Amino acid sequence: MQDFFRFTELTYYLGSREREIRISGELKPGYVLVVKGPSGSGKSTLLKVMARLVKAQGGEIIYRDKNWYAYSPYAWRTCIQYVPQKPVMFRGNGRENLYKPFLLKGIREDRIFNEEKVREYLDIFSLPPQILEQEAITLSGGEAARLSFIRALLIEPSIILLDEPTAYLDQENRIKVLRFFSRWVKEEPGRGIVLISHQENDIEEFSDTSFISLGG
Amino acid sequence: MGSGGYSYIEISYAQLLLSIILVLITGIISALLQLGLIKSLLWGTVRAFVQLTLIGYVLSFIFKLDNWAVILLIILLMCYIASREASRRIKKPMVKPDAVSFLALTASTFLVGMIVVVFIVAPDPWYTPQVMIPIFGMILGNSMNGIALALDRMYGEIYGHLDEVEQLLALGATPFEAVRDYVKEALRAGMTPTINSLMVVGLVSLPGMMTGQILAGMDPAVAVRYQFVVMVMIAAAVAMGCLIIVGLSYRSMFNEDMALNEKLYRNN
Ligand SMILES: Nc1ncnc2c1ncn2[C@@H]1O[C@H](COP(=O)(O)OP(=O)(O)O)[C@@H](O)[C@H]1O
Ligand SMILES: [Mg+2]
Repeated sequence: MQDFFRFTELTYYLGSREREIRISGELKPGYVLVVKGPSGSGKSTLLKVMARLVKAQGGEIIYRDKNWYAYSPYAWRTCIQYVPQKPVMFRGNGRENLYKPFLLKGIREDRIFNEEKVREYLDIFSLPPQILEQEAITLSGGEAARLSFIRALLIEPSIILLDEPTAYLDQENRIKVLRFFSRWVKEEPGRGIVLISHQENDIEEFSDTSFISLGG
Repeated sequence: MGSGGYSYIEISYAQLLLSIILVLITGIISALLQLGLIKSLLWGTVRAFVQLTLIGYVLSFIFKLDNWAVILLIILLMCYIASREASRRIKKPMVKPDAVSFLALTASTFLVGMIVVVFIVAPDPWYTPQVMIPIFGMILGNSMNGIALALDRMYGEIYGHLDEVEQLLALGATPFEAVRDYVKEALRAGMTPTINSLMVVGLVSLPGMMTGQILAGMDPAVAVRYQFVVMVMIAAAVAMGCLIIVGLSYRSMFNEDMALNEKLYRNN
């Protein structure tokens, strides 16, 4: 495999058309690609472009030697999983929120909901099992954030795009979550993470990192 | 035809002139309390009189027509006017909804209207304008409101839940899966008023059509049957119209890569 995840001249607009961003770079398997740049420089939008949630005006991403448009948008988005900074919970309890992707086109037909895995992840992220029965929109920011990581992980993506994953977490959970992801990315070949973080010491938790930077 | 020998009583022009008393009552109230409504009242009275007189002549003319093609053409024109009015009421459309509202109104109105005219009322000939025009007119008036409500609600719900829609897409949803809840909400909003009116009809007020038929000397028992048919017909047409317009519109909120249309963000 020549290219795992390489983006070339990826071009997109920020909000109105006044600002155009163009960026190239590469994520190597087992690596964490850290996106740097001041607030408002287009980091979150870059992750959405990578997840094909925002249209790129130009450029391309090559994933496993194939152009991104060779994949269906559903296959792409479940494989290249974007986790927004502000966790989004839907009506229904915790379990229903975790189950949601298994009702949708992307993975409905080729993954099954694994209760065993759910318990394992709850344990890793120090969430009590009762959270599965709790109405999800009543969860605290930190709980919802961790539940949204679990929801993303159950999809079994190869690449996770994390937008300031520690923003809602206290110190103890911050370390837990970062350590987990640094293990996750090495646990199986062919995984990668793109990470936006404002905190230098977030990045210290990962062994193999590379950087790209968006200007102000 | 009437019950107990009553048939309708004509209002002569002299009697019509007496209705000025009623305008005066409104005018005096406005003048005494200085509501500043006199000008609009006068203008409104004149307009109402002129518009109704004109439509009276137009209807007399149409009712003499004996050509189904011309009558269908007139109904198409009514659909067009209603669709313009419906799309005018949508606040933040993605694409101007003129074409989709015309399509939704025409399709639903014709299907439901034809069922009523051809199978239920069954006049001879089937295109008798005295039946066609009021029936189609009543359907259009209600569907127009229904589809405007539904479309407005759909856009409102989706604009208000962009994060949720985006999250669902990220989790592998198709555009329809991502907006299904909001589409349902929109259909409910469009259909609720007509379904509610089924509940209260006859209790709160007598519908205009039934009142008219009774004044015109029709046996109330027959007028009631007409009214029932009209109400279920309106409910069916509104349901169909809402379904069509929402079905044709939600897709325009997404681009060809099944992501949210970037225009949505800019409109916000
Ligand atoms: N949906 C949107 N509508 C309007 N402007 C937007 C939208 N999304 C992003 N922007 C603009 O693009 C710029 C970059 O946003 P973002 O990618 O969130 O930056 P960062 O994550 O680096 O802080 C901001 O100035 C923001 O105002
Ligand atoms: Mg951001």
